[in-house]
Amino acid sequence: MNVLILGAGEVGFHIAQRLASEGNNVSVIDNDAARLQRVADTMDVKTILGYATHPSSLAQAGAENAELLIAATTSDETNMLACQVAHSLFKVTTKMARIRETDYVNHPKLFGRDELPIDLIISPENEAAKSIVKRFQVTSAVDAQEFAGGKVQLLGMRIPPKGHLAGIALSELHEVLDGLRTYVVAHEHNRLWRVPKPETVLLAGDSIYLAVAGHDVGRLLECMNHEECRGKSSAQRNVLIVGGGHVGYIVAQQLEKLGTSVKLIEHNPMRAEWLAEHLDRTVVIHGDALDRQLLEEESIDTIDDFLALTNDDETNILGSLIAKKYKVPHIVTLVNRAIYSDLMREMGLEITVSPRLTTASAILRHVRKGRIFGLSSLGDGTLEVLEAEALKTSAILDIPLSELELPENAVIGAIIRGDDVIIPDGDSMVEPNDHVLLITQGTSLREVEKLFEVGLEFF
Amino acid sequence: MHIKGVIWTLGVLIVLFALGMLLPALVSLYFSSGHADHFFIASVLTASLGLIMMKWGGGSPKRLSHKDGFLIVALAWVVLSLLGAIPFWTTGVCVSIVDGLFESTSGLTTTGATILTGLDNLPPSILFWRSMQEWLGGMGIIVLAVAVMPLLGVGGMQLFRAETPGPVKDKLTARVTETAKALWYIYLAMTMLAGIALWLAGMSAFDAINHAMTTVAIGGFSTHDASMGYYDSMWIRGLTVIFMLLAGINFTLHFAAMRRGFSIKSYSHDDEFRTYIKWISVLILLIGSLTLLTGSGTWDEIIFNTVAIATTTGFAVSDYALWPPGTTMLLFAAMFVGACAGSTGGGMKVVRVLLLFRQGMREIRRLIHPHGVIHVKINEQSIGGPVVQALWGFFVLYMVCYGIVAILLSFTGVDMLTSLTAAAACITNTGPGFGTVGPASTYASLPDAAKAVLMFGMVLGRLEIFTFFVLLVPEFWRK
Repeated sequence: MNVLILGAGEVGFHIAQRLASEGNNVSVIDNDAARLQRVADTMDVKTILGYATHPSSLAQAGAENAELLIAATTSDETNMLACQVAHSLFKVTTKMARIRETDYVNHPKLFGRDELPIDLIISPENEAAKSIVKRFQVTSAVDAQEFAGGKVQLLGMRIPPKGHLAGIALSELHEVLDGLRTYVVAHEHNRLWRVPKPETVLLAGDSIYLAVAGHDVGRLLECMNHEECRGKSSAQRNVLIVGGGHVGYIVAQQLEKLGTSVKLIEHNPMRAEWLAEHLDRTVVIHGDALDRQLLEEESIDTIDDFLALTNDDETNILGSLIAKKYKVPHIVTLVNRAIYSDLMREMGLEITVSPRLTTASAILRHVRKGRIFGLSSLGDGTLEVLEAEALKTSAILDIPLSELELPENAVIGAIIRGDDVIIPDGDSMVEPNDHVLLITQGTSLREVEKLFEVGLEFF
Repeated sequence: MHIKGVIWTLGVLIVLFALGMLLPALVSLYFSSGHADHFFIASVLTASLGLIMMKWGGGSPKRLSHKDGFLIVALAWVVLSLLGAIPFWTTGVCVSIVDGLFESTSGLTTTGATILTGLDNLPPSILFWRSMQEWLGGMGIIVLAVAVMPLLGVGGMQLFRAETPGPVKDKLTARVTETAKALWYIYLAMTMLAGIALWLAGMSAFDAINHAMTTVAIGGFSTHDASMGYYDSMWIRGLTVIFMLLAGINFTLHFAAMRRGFSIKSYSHDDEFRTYIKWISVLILLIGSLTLLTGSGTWDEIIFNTVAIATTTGFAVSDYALWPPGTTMLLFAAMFVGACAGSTGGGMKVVRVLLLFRQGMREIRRLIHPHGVIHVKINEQSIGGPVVQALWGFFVLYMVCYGIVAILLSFTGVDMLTSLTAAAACITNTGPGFGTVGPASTYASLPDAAKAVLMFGMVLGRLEIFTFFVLLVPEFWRK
C-alpha cells in the first residue's frame, strides 16, 4: 500500500516506522530537514522536504498513487487543508488527520465527502485523556479498554501478593470470583505476554487481562477486593494532576464533571492563568512539580490519585516516584518515549499512558487490510485484539469452542450477540452474525487473519 | 475636550426633555384640572434654552472623547433636575425653590423621596409629571437620546459608557444606537405590560399608568399618600412585586432571553441573577420570620416591603419602621446591595457585591494554596485584575461618600438615625429611610441645607460615583 505521512514529529515518526516495517511504501513530508534526516536514517521510507499543504510537495511525494494519507503535523489547520488538497487534486482514497482542538471535533457535520474530506480524526491527547479517565474509574485495574460500545471490557490487573487470586489455576477462577463470568485472555509472567491455557497458574506479581461484560465490571472489582478500590467513589477522591497541557486540561475537565476535587500543578505562568480561567473548580497551582515544599504545601500525603501528565517524560517519571515515596495509592504516568515504557515496571510504576501508542493503534486499526474495527494492543503491544463478524458461511459456526481449532496463541474472549454479551466457556458456540472478540499474539496475526478470511469476513 | 460639542449635545437632551413636559400639559387638558398653561410655559422656557445651546454649539460634534461623555452625562443630570423643577414652581405646588428642586432630583434619579403630602388631592398633571420624571430617569434619558439620535454617532458610545450602571459594560448589538433602542423597547414594553396588568387588577387607568412608570423605573413615587398601602388588593400588590423584581434584573438578560424566545435558561445561567433571587429570598425569609414571631406584620406586607426596598424602589404597603430592629437593619443593608447592574435600580448592584465577596474568598483560598492561581469569576469568565481593583475603588468611594453625606446631614441638625438612613436611602436611590423620613412620613420636615445635601447624594448615587468624581480631578480639565 502507498502511504503518505505529513509531519515527522513524534506521532508521524512512530506511524511511519510501524507501517514501513509491515512492508508498505511510505513517503514522509516535513519542512524540517533535521527531523526528516532522523526518519531517513531510521527506516526505509521516502522523505520529501516541503510544506504539507503545497500541491507540489504532495505531487513530489507521489500523491497520485497514494491510497492513504495521514496528516500528523502539529497544526490542526494544516492537517485539514492538506486533506482537502489531497482530496481535490489527487483523489487520495483514505485521509486521516490529527486534530487536537476539541472545538472542531465536537462538530461532526464539518467532516464528510462534501465538507472537509477527512475519514478519521485522530487526537492523541484526547485519546490519552479518555483512557486516563476510564482508568480513574476502575482504580484497581491498571488498564481498561472498551469494545462494542462498552458492552465488553478488557481489564488489565496485577495479581497482588496477598490477594486470594495468587496461586490458583485459571480453571478455578470462576469459583473464586463467585460465579462471575470472566475470561482471562492474556497473561504476563516475567515480562512475557501470552494467551493463557486453562491450566495456567496465576502467581503474585503476574499481570492478566480479563474479558468481562460491561455491566459486571463493578461486581468484578468488588470481588477482587483491592484495598484502594474499597470505600472512595470518584467524587470523594483527591486528585493531583501535574502538567496542564492538552492532556492535563482535558482530564481535569472530565474529573470536574465526576465531582472529584482536583489540584493541578503547572509550571508555565501564562498557561496557569489560562487554566485558572477555563477550569471551574480545579485549584490551579503555579510551580514546579518536583518542588518538595510545594508538594507538601498541597498535602501530597493525603492525595488518592497522582496523575503525571506533562509533556516531559522525565518530569513525569520523577514526579511519580516522589508520589510513590509519599505512598500515594494510585499513580498514572504519561510516557511518550518507548525506552522509558520498558523501565516503568522496574521502578514500580505500573500504570503508564502513552499518547503515541494510543494514536498509532487508532491509525493502524484503519490501515489493516479489510476493515476491522476495535483493534488495539494489550500489554506491551505483543497481543492484539480484533473484532470480526461471523458470516453464515463461516466454518467456525456451531462448534463448541473447546473443539474449535484456533491457531496457537489465539483465543475468543467474548461473543456479542445483538445486545447481549456472552463471556464464553468450552460449550459456547458462535452463531451467524455474532461479533467475535479475538485476542491473538502479533506474530500469529497473519495466520489468524488468513484462517478467518475463509469463514469470518472482516468488514 | 470639545466644549461646543458638549453644549450642543446637552441642548439636544434639553429639547427632548422639553418635549416630555408637553405630556403632563395634555394630561391636565384631559382632566381639565388647570395647570396646562404652566406646563406649556415650562416647556417653552426649557425648549428655548435647549435651542439656544444647540445654536451656540453649532451643530453635531464630529467626535466626542470619553471625557466629553463624562461631562455631558454629569451635567445632564444636574441641568435636567434643575429644569424639571420648573413645573413644580410655576404651578405653586412647591413653594420654596429647594423643595421643587428636591422633588425634581428625587424623581429623575428614581429615588422616590418626596417632600409632598396630600398627594391624593394634587392635580393629575403634577402627579403625572412626577411619575414621568422617574420614568425618564429610569432607563436614562441619555440612553434614549442615543437611541433616537443616530447623529450622535461615535460619541454615542462614550455617553452610553458613562451613563449605564454596572462594572462590566455589554454592548448588546454591533451598533450602540441599536443597543440603546433595544434597551428602550424592552423598557417601554415592560412599562406597557405593567400598566395593562395593574389596570386589569383594578387600578384606575390614570393610577395604573403612573404606577407602571414608577415601578418599572424602580422609582417609588405614588399617587397616594399611603403609597401602595392605598390598594388593599392582593392582585395589585402581587403584580407590583413581580414588576419590581423584573425591572431589577439586568436588561441585557431580558434582551438575551427575548432573542431566545423568553427561555428561563438564559436567566438561570447568570450568576448575578441567581444571587439576586437568592439574596431577596433569604431577606424575605429572615425578615418574615422575625416579623411574624413578634406578630407585627403579615406575609404579603413582608414580601412587598422587602422587595420594594431590596430593589431600591421604595414603595410601601405598611410602616415597616415599626417592625423589630433586626428587620429594619436588614432592610437598611438591602438598600446598599441594591438591584442588578444594567437594571433601572440603584444601590451598589448585586454583581459588585458578589464580585467583592468572591474576591474576599479568593484571598482566603490564597492562604490555603500559597502558589495557587485563583481567578475571580463570574459566569465562568475570569474578571481581570483592573476590574477587581476598580470594584474596590468603587466600594471605598461609595462608602466614603455615604459617610460624608450622612455627616453633613447631621451638621444641619438632623438626628443620627435619620441622618444615617436618609443618606443611605438617597445615595442608593431607594427613597424612604427611617426616623423622621420613614415610610409613613416625608422629607418635608428636613431643613433646606439637609435637602441640598441629599440632592447631591442622589445624583452621586445615580451616576455611580465615578462619573461624577472624575469631574473633580484637576487632570480632567487639563488640556
